[in-house]
Amino acid sequence: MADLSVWGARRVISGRLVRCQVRARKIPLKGGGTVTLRQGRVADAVGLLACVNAVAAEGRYYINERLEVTMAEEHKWIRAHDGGAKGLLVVVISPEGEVVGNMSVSRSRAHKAPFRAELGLGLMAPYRGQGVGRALLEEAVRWSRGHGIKKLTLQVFSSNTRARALYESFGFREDGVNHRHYKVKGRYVDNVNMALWL
Amino acid sequence: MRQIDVPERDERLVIRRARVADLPGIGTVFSEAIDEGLAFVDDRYAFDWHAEREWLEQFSAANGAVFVAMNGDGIIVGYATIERAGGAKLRHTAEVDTIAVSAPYRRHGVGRALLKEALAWARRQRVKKVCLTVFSSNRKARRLYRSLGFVNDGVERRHVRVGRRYEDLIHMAKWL
Repeated sequence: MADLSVWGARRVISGRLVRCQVRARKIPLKGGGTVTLRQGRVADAVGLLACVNAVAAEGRYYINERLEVTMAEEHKWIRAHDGGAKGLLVVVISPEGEVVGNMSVSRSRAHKAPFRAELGLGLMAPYRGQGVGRALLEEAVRWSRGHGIKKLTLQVFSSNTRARALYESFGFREDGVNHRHYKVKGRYVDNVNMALWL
Repeated sequence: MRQIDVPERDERLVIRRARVADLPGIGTVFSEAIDEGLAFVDDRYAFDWHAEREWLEQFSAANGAVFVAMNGDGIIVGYATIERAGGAKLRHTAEVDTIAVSAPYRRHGVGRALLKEALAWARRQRVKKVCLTVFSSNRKARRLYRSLGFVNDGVERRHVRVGRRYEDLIHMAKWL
């Protein structure tokens, strides 16, 4: 089968262009029960924003306490993360059908950095520490390898030790620390840039 | 506003806050820098007049400033932009987004004077940490930043590719 695109983003199957999709799959939680990982779609926009804003409101993990985007902007962002060359969005769905986590990889649009993609990952509090983050990272690496990404990057607060341990165990390494870059709950924390070379 | 003498060119330059009327001049300096290819992570960025005008007008005294260096003929020969970050977690920081000087005016202290104005502005806004990023190969710029008190604040290894060569992106910071 011929690979038509520069990045290997699309493959020809029976004469039609299809995008690499993340097939829905169930992940067992260490604490019992399961969640479903699947590709994000435009219909997830409301649930996705609620999930992101719930994590943001905790004030300890994201730069902003609230994501200020219009629904149109959110739809556009989801469409750009359809698993094609620009990026991928994977959502975590609870048995009740709620979005309880998300992972995105976005290829850098900068002229001098097409080999780079940035990872974003967030889980609502009850779903942390149960192996979901690791499953999401596997999807991120799979998409990145399939799309010619050489350097997968992320940023994490130095105070977020659990996330840092996960990234490190996955092979991410520190790639420049910006000292006392954020003020979280009245205390300075560092911004830790991390990178995984593929 | 401050003035700097460039004895080698027998000229006196004025450094001041930018006005909307300066935008064409700023665009010329910006395009020159883009054509050189080294300074910016993204070369495809086009100077969009409407967006730039809006951007300049939106800059209130509190969230950003643009400074220009103008020669005796009223031509813009350099500019610098500084933008304060928003939100509780980042409000203590500001980023020097751009600093560009037209080639014939380099090595005469224009960049230094622009950066000093930006730092003075940051101090007035009670910013604590002024940040910028520079490519590892841009030694002259790094020397200038060091001489003004900037220190390395993290290096992203092989973060950009110029032709076939990777370059590090160096974060520098000055605490006020």
